[in-house]
Amino acid sequence: MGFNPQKVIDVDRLIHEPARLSIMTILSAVESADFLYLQREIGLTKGNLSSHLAKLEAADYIEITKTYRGKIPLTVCKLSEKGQEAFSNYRKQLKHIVENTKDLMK
Amino acid sequence: MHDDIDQVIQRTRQYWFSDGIVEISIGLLFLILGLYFYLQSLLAPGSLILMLLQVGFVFLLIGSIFVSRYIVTKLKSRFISPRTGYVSYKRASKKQRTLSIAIVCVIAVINAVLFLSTPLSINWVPAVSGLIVGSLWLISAVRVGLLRFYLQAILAYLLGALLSFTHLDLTQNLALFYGVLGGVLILSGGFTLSKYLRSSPPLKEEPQT
Repeated sequence: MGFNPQKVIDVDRLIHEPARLSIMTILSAVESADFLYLQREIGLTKGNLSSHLAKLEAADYIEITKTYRGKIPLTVCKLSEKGQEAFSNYRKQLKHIVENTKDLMK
Repeated sequence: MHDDIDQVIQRTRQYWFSDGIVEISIGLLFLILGLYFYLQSLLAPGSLILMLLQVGFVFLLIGSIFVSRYIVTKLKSRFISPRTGYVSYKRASKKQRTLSIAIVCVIAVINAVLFLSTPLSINWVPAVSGLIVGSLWLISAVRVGLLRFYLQAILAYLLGALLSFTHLDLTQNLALFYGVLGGVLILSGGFTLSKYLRSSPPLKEEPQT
């Protein structure tokens, strides 16, 4: 299988943005994670993180639940089924690009 | 970028162990096991208390596991999540659970065959225990990528092998094995917790938007 430039063009740009890629990667490894954990791990400001989460939620890639732990409000995020599939496809696309550009460089 | 994704995933898996609470709880479990075997070594063979201890072993083990899971969850919810966030991990898949049960059954069968076929093989019980505990720790080490888990796995292998060459009886050897490992895990977990608390002070304001 040779390198297909179309694969680069077809990469999911919603996921490909570094902050959103980090969000999707973290959520792919867990059942759910809260806003504080995502903010600390990715190093974004509250506003910036909220903006990226809103975009992912608008695309139905993640589900956001606002709940309480005792009296403390908690915003919990998890990957939706569509998000899991999209992330899995994104990883396959990346793998194809990386493997085939290695061949081009030989 | 592919490697970066794997690193982020591994770091996310590490978070559960970043505060040392799980290690401390496992260390306490091992100490309880060590104490159990130590008490066995003190009691006369055939005594009623010894029989009760042996019968109660499974209940003690299962009960301790459930209690420690409850305590770990409560402690993390109270002290860790407010500082660095809350993560809920996926349950093991059916395939992983089946594999775990299969491994435990294979180990149990190997142990039974060894004891029944060769009486002298009872000397190797600490080494087998070291192999089992060390291997479980090694699997965790590979999965989460924490150096201290690799070191603890090596300690379990070496300690088990070393104790197999002592002239102590089986229960004394097992008491030492679990007691020493338990102590090391508590120290390691305590150091990790101390480091975590210093580096992650409680939040002064709510982060959610």
